[in-house]
Amino acid sequence: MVDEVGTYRTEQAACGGEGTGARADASGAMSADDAVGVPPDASLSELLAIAARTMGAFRWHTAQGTGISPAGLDVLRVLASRGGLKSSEVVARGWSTPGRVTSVVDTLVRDGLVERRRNEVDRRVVRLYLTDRGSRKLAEAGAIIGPKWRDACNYVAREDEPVVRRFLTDTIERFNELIRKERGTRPPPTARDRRPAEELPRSGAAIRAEDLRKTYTTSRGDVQAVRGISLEVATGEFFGLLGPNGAGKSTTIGMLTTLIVPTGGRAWVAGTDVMANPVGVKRRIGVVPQNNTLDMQLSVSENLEFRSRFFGLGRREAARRAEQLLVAFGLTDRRRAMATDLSGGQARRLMIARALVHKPDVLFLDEPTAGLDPQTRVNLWDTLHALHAEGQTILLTTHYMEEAEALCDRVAVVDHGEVLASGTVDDLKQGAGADTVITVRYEGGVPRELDTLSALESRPGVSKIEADGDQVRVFAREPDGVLGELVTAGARAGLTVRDAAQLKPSLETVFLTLTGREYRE
Amino acid sequence: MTTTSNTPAGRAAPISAESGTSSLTGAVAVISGAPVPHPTMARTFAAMMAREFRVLGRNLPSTFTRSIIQPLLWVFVFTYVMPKIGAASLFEAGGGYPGAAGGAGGTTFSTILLPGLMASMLLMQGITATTFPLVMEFSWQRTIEDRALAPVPLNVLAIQKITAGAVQAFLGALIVIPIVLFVHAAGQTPHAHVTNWALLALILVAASLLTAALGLLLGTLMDPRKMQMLFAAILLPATMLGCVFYPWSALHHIRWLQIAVLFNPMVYISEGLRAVLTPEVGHLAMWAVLLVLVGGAVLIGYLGSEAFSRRVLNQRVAELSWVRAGLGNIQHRKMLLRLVDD
Repeated sequence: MVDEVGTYRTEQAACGGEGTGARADASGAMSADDAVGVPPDASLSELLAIAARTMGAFRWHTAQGTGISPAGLDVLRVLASRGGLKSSEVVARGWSTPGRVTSVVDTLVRDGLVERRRNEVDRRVVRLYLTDRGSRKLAEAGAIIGPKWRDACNYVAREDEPVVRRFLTDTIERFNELIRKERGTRPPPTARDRRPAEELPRSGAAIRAEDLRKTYTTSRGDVQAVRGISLEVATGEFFGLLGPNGAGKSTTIGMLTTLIVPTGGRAWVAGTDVMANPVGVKRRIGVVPQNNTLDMQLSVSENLEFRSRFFGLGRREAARRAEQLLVAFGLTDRRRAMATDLSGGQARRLMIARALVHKPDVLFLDEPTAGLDPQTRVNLWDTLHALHAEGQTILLTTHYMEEAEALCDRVAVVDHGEVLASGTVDDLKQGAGADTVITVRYEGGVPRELDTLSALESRPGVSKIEADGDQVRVFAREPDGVLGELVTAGARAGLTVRDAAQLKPSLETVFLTLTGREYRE
Repeated sequence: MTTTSNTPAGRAAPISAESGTSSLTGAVAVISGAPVPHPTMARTFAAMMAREFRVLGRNLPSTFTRSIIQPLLWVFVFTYVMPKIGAASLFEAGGGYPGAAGGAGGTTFSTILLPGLMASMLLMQGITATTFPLVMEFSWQRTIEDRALAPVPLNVLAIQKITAGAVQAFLGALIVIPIVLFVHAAGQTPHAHVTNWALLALILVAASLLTAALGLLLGTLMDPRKMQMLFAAILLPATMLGCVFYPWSALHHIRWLQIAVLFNPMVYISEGLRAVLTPEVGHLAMWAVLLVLVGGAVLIGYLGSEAFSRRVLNQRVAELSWVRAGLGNIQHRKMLLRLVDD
């Protein structure tokens, strides 16, 4: 029996297969023709077998190329699927066979491919970060960034692209057809029914904003909530808008989702002009606002059903879709509950489910984990990871550094209505905040020992020193010993150290470096 | 794993090293298993109405009870209790109602009340059914955003809200009829006979739409904290001065009032129904009634839908100034000013 999960796995396998398609010749495990040639009359099980075969070849080859054990590759693939070749992380808690996980993870850690950290919040959760070496290895091996088969072709070497594309489209087409046949459901969608890929700009951007502005006129003068934000989010990307409250994130989302009319600039979502065709945009987006906007007069399943019907599904189709989503989001036992009776985490899940009823091209999430307890938050991250792995384009706003770091492919740091910097989290850290920031606050002002400070300044690895009021802040690439020197300097001057902190390079230090201000959450 | 009330999202199957894939079993269904939607304006509109009826059906007992009590009590007191205790003569002492067919016994009070209470119900239901939900939707959680994201233009959403309110108003008016017909003391039977059913239907529909449109406009402009004012400042005066308990022609004794109440749309609803239901009682000219009801429904509907769309799109202005200045009422005043300015 082929269920949805079956489909999914197959697609994963097919996705893995593209690597094979690309490298089969080199590996000699199977010829490229074997990998790409899908027999026109293959049955579903045969197709599955082919996919499995290509998958196996892929593993074998990659393992050979990198010297990583195949089991290790499994884990790396999970890692890669969760964050691309960036500083990925994975929550290992849910893994079912701890023994296996441990040994695999240990191997990876020993090889320097992965760095393991325990979660501060929940000690049972282990987070794995893909190290630079791991990224390099993966890149060398020509691995696939994620099981986003829709975009998979983009990541494969140029010359192999047509072959792989053919393989993928063929396989997936055939899978879908067979599954439909087996279920005896509707005929395949016609070209008109398909998502309007042709409407997308050539660049394939899911979201494009050019100098987007919003000025509010109030009795106290004009307030510039957004002062010219430009963004480009690729299809399949997980993009984060990171900034403190009041930075203009929600206003930006409001403009992109047609609920706020910009006072300047232009924006396209799913290839549709936000201002010229708001209804067209609304058809293609799913929005999870910050507030609980569930229909409180309706039950959990009714919330999903009616939303589906708003988007044109028939009554029976809508019921089916609602059921799918209830299962997917673990809300089946609450289906009859009124929306008012849900816990915070359940409500948030229902809102995400509701935003997905019509298969939106872009999912917008405005502060999805604000106000949730840490456990629920981590669970929600898992859900978002999984959606992203499926190829869902997501734009998320957050004021939690760690959230952006954990989830997003790329991040734009926003403050006072402007983008301060954008790029992958790694890029940002390299570019602006590679330094560790050491802050020491003294009781009664900064010590007058300027020579100490200048001694620090000339120290290798220290890039900047800021003295401000009662505190000194040192930006250092090699922070060892700096904190000690600052404390001793204070002691020599007879000043008590009131507060000392050392921040490792993170989005927080990026923010600090970019704005010179503490990150205010 | 701890047992928390918030079960992990989508964790029907945990991330497993075996499968080597991400979790969220159903995420598959979420994306690849989704049916392709074909939203059209008509389908979306129909789905929204279906949602209203679902809610209405669920709240039917309480809605029904709430809407029946007021007319029932009015009728009971005025056409049963008062005549029984002899107070009915008070009404006739004033010389009876002019224009009433001066037949034996004159016009019963229930004859006056039938169209009057129907009109009162139209206003009450039309406004409460539209204004209350809207004010809630616009208030702190802004659930209006939910509906605003449906794939239709905002003014279609406004029209849908008017339609839903109008249906409730219409049903409310129908409830009054059996009450007035059956609850009264002996000899207090209302004299109603309809000659033009089409005209009755037209007036009922136009009045329902007018009251619901008024409800939309009020719900859009109303400051949620001033909700009590709705009754004191709008519903009560509109009812008491809306020719519910007396025909307009009887007001000739107080000429200034007779002219003043012409600004009350309620008057046209009462008098319109009076003209088609109990024509023997004197009533306003039909052209004036139709002009105000139909023209008003169109005009107020237009204004309401414009105000609504702007409120949905501009709300953040209000929120921002509200937060910044900490002045709640400014929000409301400024909204009005902006509407006037634009």
